[in-house]
Amino acid sequence: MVTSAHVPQQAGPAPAARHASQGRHEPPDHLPGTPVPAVPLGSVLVPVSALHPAPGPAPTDPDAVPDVPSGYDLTRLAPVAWWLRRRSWQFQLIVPNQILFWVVIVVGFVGPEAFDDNFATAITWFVWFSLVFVLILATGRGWCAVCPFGGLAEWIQRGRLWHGRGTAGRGLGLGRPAPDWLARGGYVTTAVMFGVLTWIEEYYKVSDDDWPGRTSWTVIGIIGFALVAFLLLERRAFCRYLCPLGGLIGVLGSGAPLTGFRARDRSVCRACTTKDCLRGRDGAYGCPWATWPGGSETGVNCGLCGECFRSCRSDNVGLFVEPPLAALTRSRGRRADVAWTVALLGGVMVHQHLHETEWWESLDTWANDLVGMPHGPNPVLFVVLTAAYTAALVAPVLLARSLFYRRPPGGLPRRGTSFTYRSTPLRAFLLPAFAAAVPLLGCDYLCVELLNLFQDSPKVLPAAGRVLGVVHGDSSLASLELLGADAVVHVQWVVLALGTLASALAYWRVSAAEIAPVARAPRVVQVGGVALIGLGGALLVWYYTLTQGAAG
Amino acid sequence: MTTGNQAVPRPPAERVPVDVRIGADRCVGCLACADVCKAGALHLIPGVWAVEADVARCTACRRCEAACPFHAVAVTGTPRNKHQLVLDTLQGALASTCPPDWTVSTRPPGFRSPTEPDGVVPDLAVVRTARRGPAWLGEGDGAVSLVVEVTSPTSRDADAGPRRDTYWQCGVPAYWTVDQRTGAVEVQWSTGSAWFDRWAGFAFC
Repeated sequence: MVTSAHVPQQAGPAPAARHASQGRHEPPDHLPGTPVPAVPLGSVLVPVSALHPAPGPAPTDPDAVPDVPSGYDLTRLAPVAWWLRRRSWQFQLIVPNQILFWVVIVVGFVGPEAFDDNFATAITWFVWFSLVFVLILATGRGWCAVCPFGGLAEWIQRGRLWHGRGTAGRGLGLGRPAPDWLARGGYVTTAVMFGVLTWIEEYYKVSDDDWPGRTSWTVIGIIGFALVAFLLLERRAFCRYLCPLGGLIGVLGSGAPLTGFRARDRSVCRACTTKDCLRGRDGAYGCPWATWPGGSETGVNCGLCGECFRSCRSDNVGLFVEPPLAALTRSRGRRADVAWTVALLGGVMVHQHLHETEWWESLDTWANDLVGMPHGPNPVLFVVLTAAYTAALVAPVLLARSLFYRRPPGGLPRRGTSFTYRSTPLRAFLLPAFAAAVPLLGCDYLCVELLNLFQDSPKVLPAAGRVLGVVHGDSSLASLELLGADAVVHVQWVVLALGTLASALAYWRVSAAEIAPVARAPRVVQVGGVALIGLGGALLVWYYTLTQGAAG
Repeated sequence: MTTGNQAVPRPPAERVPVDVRIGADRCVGCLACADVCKAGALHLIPGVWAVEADVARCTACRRCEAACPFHAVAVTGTPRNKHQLVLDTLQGALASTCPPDWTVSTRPPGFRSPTEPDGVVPDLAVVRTARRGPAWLGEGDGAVSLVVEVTSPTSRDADAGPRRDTYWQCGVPAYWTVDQRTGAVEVQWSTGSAWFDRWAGFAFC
């Protein structure tokens, strides 16, 4: 019987009882007058759940995240909460930076031509670019909160300096959403932008001993790029998808103790129907960074502007601090774009390292002669090296996946089909491993700048004195060094040792939580990964020792 | 356009299939879209703060698009009411189960009818072998295996009376009616010698 064979469990009255017909016949085994179909039509009977849209699965918190997040809520301190409630605090922090950057632009053009004597180059390359990495490792996106590029562009986009939405003025921005192709790549585009900026900086010798006006042009270029993007796109889409430093700061700062604004109780956010933190309300904007405090677990996407803190009607948002690495090692929803950004940023740094060596310089010269470029770095070599470095990073992970992958009971967790979240066996190994490399990479970036910070930063004072007209001629401060070259190398050793230790610890934790469930020999994968991180740290120590600090 | 039974069957109306795309990097999993979705078509992906859509449930009402603060949801396709939703679901299930050379159509040509100039157009028809060119159902190359009507309170009498008679007269061997409100399915087979033999019927809910 077709029906009884295929729908035996269906509830409902018996056919004969339900439908009294004029003449009762035995039901045919197949459609009358037709050959028996390969698949009887009775088998297509659809489950009722498909026919009738009952409510879908109840929304669940990913991986049963605790409703109360870990960490200490800084806004429990009354002065902190009072300060963050003021709309003007971010403005107050941005304004000095803004003034400084316009001074940099002007002085770069009209100031002394000597690189070390010019305030624009001294403050930018000897101090700012060093301190920004300290800020990243300590506060995550702390720099983004006070960034003069985004700050200026946001004022123009909103048509307000610090006032909330609906209180004054009218913005100039078109407010278009970021294009899909841009959003789909996540931070990968920002890593590429950072590579492009680094190449421009090296090609035009912006940070080398050359005309200071190039520094001014670089700042003008970034401000112009930010302005155009802010006027076209909504919120801070520029910072999320285009800013050359956006991915760098977010990724390298993902292990920082300051983990951004998050919900005090996620259940309150889930029950919230107004979502003011995302949409904004009178006096407060929706999150410019397109981040939801109710789902945020790290500070990677939190720009620390505090709009959510001010807009939440339930007073359910706080600013959290946690032990270093805590957010990085938390194993939920790792994103592929973050992992590839780590690889690309590593490739850019390796190029910077090799660029300092003579044999790479000769290779650059050879390549430039081939393509007719006047000087290096050769862009093709730059791209090839970055790709080769990425491949070299992936190779051991691929080997580990080939040797040790074990399909977990029930298969890999389903994470959708997007580039960002898709689940594959390689990604099960790669995403945690690359995340664990972040501390070492961050320390490497910091080390490159340490020589400038400890040996050249005092030059800022006489350079500033020249701008103010209080210093004329040479100054003894210009030759002052905070640390000698050898001492700087020792500091670099310490920083690299800390970075290596942090990465090894992070890998040990994430591999135990995320790789072990899909690995046949988890201990081998754990020990092997830690050994590779140790090898990477040792290579960097060797490099900095060999190049005596490798001034960036 | 039509002159009695000599009319050329009307071409199927164009309907764009419903599709829902969620921008994975835009979506933060706030469930603002799920809050307004009356069809229950949106839910969180386990382990990820991002939403996924069950397209089979989506009616393309686009409330979710308007509700999303970050433009993460993009719905395309012709909006469909409950009638169309049931039909599309049936079509998908039948198409995946029938032999590959059978055609499952939700806007088929009509059957020739002495009373209706445009013919009687069923909600869904399953036709064996490919049809070539416009022709009345049952008179082209393909043989009709099944006709389905999704019934509402207003159409139930017609579906159970004149329409069913037309289908029988045109040689349709199997006829299903699906109540769009309750999901009850009534399966009727033609014996070839008499009226439809309503030998079976069962409910899905």
